[in-house]
Amino acid sequence: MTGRRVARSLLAGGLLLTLFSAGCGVRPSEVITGRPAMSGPSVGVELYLVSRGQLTLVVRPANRVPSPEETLGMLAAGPDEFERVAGLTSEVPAALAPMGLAVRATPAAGGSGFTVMATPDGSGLTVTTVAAVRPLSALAADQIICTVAGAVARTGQGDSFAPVTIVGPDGARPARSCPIG
Amino acid sequence: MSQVLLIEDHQTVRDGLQLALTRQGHTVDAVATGEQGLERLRAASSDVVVLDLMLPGMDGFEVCRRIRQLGDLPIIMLTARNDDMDVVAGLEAGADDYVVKPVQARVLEARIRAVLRRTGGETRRAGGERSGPEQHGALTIDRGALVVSKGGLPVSLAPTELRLLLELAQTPGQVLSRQQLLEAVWEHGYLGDSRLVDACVQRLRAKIEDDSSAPVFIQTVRGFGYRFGPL
Amino acid sequence: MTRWRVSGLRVRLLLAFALLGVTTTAVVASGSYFQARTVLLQQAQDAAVASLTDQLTKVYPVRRLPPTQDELDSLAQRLSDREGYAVVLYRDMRAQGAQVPEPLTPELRQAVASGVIAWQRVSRDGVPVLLIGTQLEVDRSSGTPVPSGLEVYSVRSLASEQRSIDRLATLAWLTGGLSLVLAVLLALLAARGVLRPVRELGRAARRLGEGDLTTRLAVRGADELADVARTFNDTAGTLERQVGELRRMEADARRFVADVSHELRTPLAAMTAVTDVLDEEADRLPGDAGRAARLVSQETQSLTQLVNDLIEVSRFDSGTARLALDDVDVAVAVTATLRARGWVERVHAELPPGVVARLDPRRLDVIVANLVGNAFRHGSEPVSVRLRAEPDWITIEVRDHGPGLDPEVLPHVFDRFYKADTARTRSEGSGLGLAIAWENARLHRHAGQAGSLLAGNDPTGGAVFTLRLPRVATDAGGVR
Repeated sequence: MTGRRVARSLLAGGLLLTLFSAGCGVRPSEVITGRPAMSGPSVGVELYLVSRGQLTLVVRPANRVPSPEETLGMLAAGPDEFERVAGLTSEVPAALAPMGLAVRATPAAGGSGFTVMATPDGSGLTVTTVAAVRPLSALAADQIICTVAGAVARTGQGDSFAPVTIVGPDGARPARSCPIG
Repeated sequence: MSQVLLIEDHQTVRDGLQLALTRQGHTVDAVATGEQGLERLRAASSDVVVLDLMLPGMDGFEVCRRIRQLGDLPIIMLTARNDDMDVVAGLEAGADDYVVKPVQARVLEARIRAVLRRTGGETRRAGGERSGPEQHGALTIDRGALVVSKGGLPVSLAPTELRLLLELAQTPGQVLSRQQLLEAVWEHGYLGDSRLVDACVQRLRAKIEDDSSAPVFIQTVRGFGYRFGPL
Repeated sequence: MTRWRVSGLRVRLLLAFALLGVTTTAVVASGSYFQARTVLLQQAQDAAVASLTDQLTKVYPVRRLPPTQDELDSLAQRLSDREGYAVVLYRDMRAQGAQVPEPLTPELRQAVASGVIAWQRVSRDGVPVLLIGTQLEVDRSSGTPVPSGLEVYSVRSLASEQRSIDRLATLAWLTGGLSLVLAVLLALLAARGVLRPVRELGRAARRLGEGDLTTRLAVRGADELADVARTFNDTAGTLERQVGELRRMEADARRFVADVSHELRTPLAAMTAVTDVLDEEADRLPGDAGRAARLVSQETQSLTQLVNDLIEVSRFDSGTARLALDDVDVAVAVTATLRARGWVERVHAELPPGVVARLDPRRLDVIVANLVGNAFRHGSEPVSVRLRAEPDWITIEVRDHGPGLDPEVLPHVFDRFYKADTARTRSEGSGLGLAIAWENARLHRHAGQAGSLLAGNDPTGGAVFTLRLPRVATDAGGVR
């Protein structure tokens, strides 16, 4: 009898204690994650520069959409004043220009020195430069690959994730896709 | 000796009492009903009546009252039940004394003698040496002649009533207890029934007092007894 | 009127109800409280996230990356409002809508860096704050968006939500309190409903125990208590019938004894009338005839005594015994009793004179004669009688110097026909003497108290009978 009563009291007390320990008011929480991050379009020329050893997207205002070759030319020209102040650098040597971009069999209009062509199997791009491509750092290659892929996608000539082959007088680098995204 | 009228309906009791009283020297006239008893009283004189209260036909109380109307004949009740109501009713009807059945002959005989003494010379002797009438207010008591009159008119008193009055009037202003009166008047020894006194006082007051609820001659002294006067 | 016994039915009911009420309310109230809190916070958070993403769509299209500090500041400014402020980060650049210490948590920044919208509730100076963060990414026409390096955080105070939730809590407590009060009230009501029949049952049982066999309970409803009440009534009814039957039988028996006694009186009256004759003649009768005559006479008297005693007892039983009260000098009365029986020389009497009491002298005589006679028969001389007077009572003590009363006999000495010594001959008394003495003593009453007759033993040996009568008795009037 007494034992049962004690057990009952304990049960009730425990229940109440549990409820109270859950607390009142707004409690701090763990991090809660939701949808993927915000995204939206950009207007201008997209280049990939380097910030602290990482590829970084840069958008420069432009009046018109430049061709992939022009875009590559801008990349080879390196960061402008503002970007340099912001701590951006480029590992693509200026000597690399002119580069050719081959998107398809026929050479593209305009003469930036780059030739961008589609690879023979039609699944990729080939960038042809006038300077040697072997000494290029991996980061520099990625800068070129991502920039050209984005430019091609913007002009509707190809996909931004298409593998890109960089070809120079000293030969070709293995085809590779933009590592970002 | 004395003429006893015995009114008792049970034959064996009647015979037994008659036998015993006769042996004591009384002349016993035994009848079975009250009617017969009253008839016998008219025909011949008796000295005392021994009356059973439980009678067929006219009951003992009625017989008692009738006898009282005839005169001052002493009456001793025989009560089968020592029922208080019977005793009180019988005493109010005018009985002088009572005995409870079963009664031994010598007890009844003693009562008869005591009652008879009140009627005769004993009472006269109780009057004491004083002779001639004595005056107590409107009341005149002649102890010699055993006559009581009030305002010149004679008052008819039964022997026990007269004896009680004489006893009380002998010591005017002095309180006598019921037990004293029982011993003196009824000769009951100590353990008599005080209701005998009370009933007799009631009857006496009814005869000599102007207002028996506010008695002058026989006064009750609560807690003690009765007192004659003071006037 | 009611005692509140701890562990009583009422307290137990009360506790049970209160516990039930509190538990139920606690579960319900806290459950709904937590539910409401969750919903409230979720709604606030969702609204804040939606509002932030809505505002951030206006940032697009992105025209310049990296942004200038001015651009960051203006963005932070745009995203700040009354309810909160924004923090905009771009690498080492930072724009903050309010001058406060670092509000962001490392874990939130880590989650945001992984490319999702993330939020977290933290407490800042005791105020709950919601942090929402997201990266701004740039779409590509095909493939996944690219991080722009911009991170936007919204810092919103949850004070108003806190207030709402506090109100909810207050409401929950209030509900709990009210339900506790309600539970207690209900418990009291229920306890009364349950306890009233129980109390009635208790009262009825007590009355029944006190001898009121007509006690019945009103049967209400059809619950277990009604069953109990019905059972009680049945039991009481059976008891009443049986006791009534017993009483009737007892009354019949008593009436029979009374009737027999009365019937015996007439033949006894005839026989008694002639016992004197027998006594006188016995001496003259030869041998056996004389002895026989004496025997008949003697036994007639015994029989008469027995019948008289029986009639006296039946009068006590029927309540018709009355007192004939008179003012009596007790010493004189007792002396007269002793003298009448020739005991004056044999009894040592201590009778202070002048003790007057109003009582029935014949009954006093019966009592004293019985006690003294009893002392002579069963005790041994000297027998003493001592009278003591109190303001309202007189006490008469009759004491002998025999062996005293056997403890086994003591409780029965006043029983009718009780014979301590079974071998005793009947001629020593009717066996009713002490019973009649006891009844006579009780018949004298004063101020609701009856006279008494007690039997006991003196420490020095010998039986002591103590009679106690009121100085001024009133007739019990047959009340028994």
